[in-house]
Amino acid sequence: MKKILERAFKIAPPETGSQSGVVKPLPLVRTPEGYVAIVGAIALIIAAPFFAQSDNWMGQFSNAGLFAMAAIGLGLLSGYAGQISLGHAAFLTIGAYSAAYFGVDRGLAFPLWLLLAGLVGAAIGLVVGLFSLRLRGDYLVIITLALVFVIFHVSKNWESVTGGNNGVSAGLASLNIGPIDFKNLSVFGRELTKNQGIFWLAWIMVGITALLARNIVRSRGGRALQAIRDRDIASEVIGIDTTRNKIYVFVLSSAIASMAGGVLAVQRGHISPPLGAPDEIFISIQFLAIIVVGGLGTVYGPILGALFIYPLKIMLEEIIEIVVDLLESIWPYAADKLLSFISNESGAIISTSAFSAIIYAILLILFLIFQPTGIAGLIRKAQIGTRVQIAKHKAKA
Amino acid sequence: MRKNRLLISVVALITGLGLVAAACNHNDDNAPSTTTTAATTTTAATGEPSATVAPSEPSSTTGFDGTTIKLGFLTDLSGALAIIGRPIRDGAQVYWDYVNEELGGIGGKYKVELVVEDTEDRPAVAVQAYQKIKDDVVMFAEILSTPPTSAVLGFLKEDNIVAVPGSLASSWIREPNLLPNGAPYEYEIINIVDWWYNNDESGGANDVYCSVHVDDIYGTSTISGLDHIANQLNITVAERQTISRGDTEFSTQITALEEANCTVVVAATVPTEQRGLLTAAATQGFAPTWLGALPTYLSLFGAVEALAPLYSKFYYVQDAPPLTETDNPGVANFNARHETYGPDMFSTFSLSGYFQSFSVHQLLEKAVELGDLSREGILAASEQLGEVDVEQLAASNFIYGPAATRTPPRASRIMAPDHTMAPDFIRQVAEFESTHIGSFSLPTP
Repeated sequence: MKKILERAFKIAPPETGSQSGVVKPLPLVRTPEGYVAIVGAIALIIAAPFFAQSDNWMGQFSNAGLFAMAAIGLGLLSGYAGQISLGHAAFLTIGAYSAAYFGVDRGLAFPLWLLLAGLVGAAIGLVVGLFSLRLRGDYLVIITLALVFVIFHVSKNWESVTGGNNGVSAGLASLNIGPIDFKNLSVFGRELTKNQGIFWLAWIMVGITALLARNIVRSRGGRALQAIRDRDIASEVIGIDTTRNKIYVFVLSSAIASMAGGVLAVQRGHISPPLGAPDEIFISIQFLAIIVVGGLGTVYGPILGALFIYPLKIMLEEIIEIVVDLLESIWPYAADKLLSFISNESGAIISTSAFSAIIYAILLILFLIFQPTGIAGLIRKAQIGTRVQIAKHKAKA
Repeated sequence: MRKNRLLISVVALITGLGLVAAACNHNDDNAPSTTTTAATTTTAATGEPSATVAPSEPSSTTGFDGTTIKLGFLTDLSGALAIIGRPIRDGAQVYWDYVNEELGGIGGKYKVELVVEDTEDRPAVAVQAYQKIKDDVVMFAEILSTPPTSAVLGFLKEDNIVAVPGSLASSWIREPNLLPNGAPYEYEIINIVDWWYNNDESGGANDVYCSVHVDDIYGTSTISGLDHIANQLNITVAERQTISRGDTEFSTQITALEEANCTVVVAATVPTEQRGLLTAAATQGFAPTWLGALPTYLSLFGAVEALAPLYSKFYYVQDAPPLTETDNPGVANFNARHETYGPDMFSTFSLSGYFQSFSVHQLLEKAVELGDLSREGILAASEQLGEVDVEQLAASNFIYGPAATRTPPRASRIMAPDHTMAPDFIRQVAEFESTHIGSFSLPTP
């Protein structure tokens, strides 16, 4: 697999005069802290279903995992290859309908329908990429924006596959890998809910996707993508086929998003067209927010971004409710005033959801202004700071 | 590196602008309306709320702690349908305040509390809202609008939860987990078209019929009623136009309808878009007769005298009588209860939220009577629910029972906006039940 990917992303042979052309690959994990973080994350994922108080939060973090998976693909495209897509949500939709068609209508096994969902996404990504990535500039933004509208109208009108406005059911598609059914898991005699099972599946898929992405970016192909992002003309001069590499990474990104969309559809049970293409564009923008807030040019950034962005609005709503409860116990007058302004109850001026949407947007804008390198940048700063402190401490000692 | 920074800036700009736009969009309907009034309706419902004590005490269960019954309420508080969703919530709150204060609650002792969540009229948000509160409630007293209901339906089935769809799609009637109210949209359209065809003094048989509908599940299912009645009456629908939710520009659709020489346009839209269509038609000097489903009209617009010319040839269907018809017991009760428990202002759809609560009330009474408020208990109780009277708020009552045998109301009230008829600015033109409804097949799941 690695060889195939290496071949797919290979750069042209080095010019005469260079040594062997073999470049030592970057390490899979750069720092010891990285290993600790990975082991900690795995432990947390394994333990979470047993300790989570709410099935709702399991559902939220399952979805966040699937968004993280799709965002890793977008991170490869935008963070490494420097290409911006506004159509990522369209590929999730493609994957969702593929899951319903292959998984429910055709009754195919999970690995097979997942693969086919990825292939459908890849095929459409190839068509879009062939038209848009041959030219230098922001053509991909425009064409992926158009793709959102095309997919929206196709989903409303191709009734035999998409069910038209009524939508189709994807909840019956299998999520079995051999004897393991992720929709009906039982561990140590304890039956897990569907959300708990899909939580594990989602994060296993995130792990596999992250490993794949990390292997790509530390290979010659990955370096080629970064070269295209930073100096595209110079890349061509040294023999990198920029068009082909950009198309490859777009196809891969599309396939990953499509597979994530497939599992997301099974988790949600039913797929119907959004109320309008702007809804899809909003989700695509949310993906851009995820990779920027997480940190462009990293593999773990999109994962952190999805974990931060996806549940943020719901968390803000919960925080508002906690604040109101707290105020009610210590200062009822203020709680009443607050509820008359922000609440889902009758008479309130603004709903909790709308208020949290405003706070959400403000937080993101502030984040982008003051921390443009994202959460990954913060982590890097913390790492450097810690090392400096350790070095100073050692020097003093 | 410089290019990377440029990329971050571009992405940041797009993201920021997009999120600000989204946040603004979520809040454009937040201010409560101050000019509204009145009556209308949607659904059907129930009988006299009884305060009988259950023979066996229901034990505590999800959403019921032994004293308070919690009901989920998914409505649009900040999206495109907030103009409908907020008064529906207010109307339901009036009903439950009345039950809690005057009847002592369900079975005379169990208070009812609404747990309200905002769906923004977006299916994905509705699913999130559902997941957030499903483990805190015994059932859902509202899921507003067809697309969110459609998105949540699979979960309702998985979780054995009953919900009231806040829309009148006929496909809900045969769904065991849904407790619909009122005559379905298809019946509404069959009734109003048949009424116009047979009663128009100028001769409805000579009209050129056309349609415009929202291109979603609500619009397409509603307009299937037109297909049925057109087939029955041998009418040819000369032109069919669609619009999308959130559209504000309708000159293309109006031009197409005008070029087809339409004299009657059947509409399956929502109030803001319908007003936009009427404005565009007036601008272009196109003046057909409009026949609309229930969601096409809002009394907020009827109250404005300046808008009266737009609505001069507009008729729509609803179940409930105008609020000026105070000799109707349902209207008299609503007016009194709203006076006592309601907010200062209400719209057409306040009565809808109130009206839908009758069937929920009767369902909970039945579940308490059977001694089981669990999800399964409520589902079982829904199968034993018979005819639910709504104090004559509907032209006829909904007869519940097993989903396969439910009979929705068939009769409709035909209404016309009238800015002189405070408080709801409508007048009833006719009460009508088409003979062609019997041949319409309700969709099965």
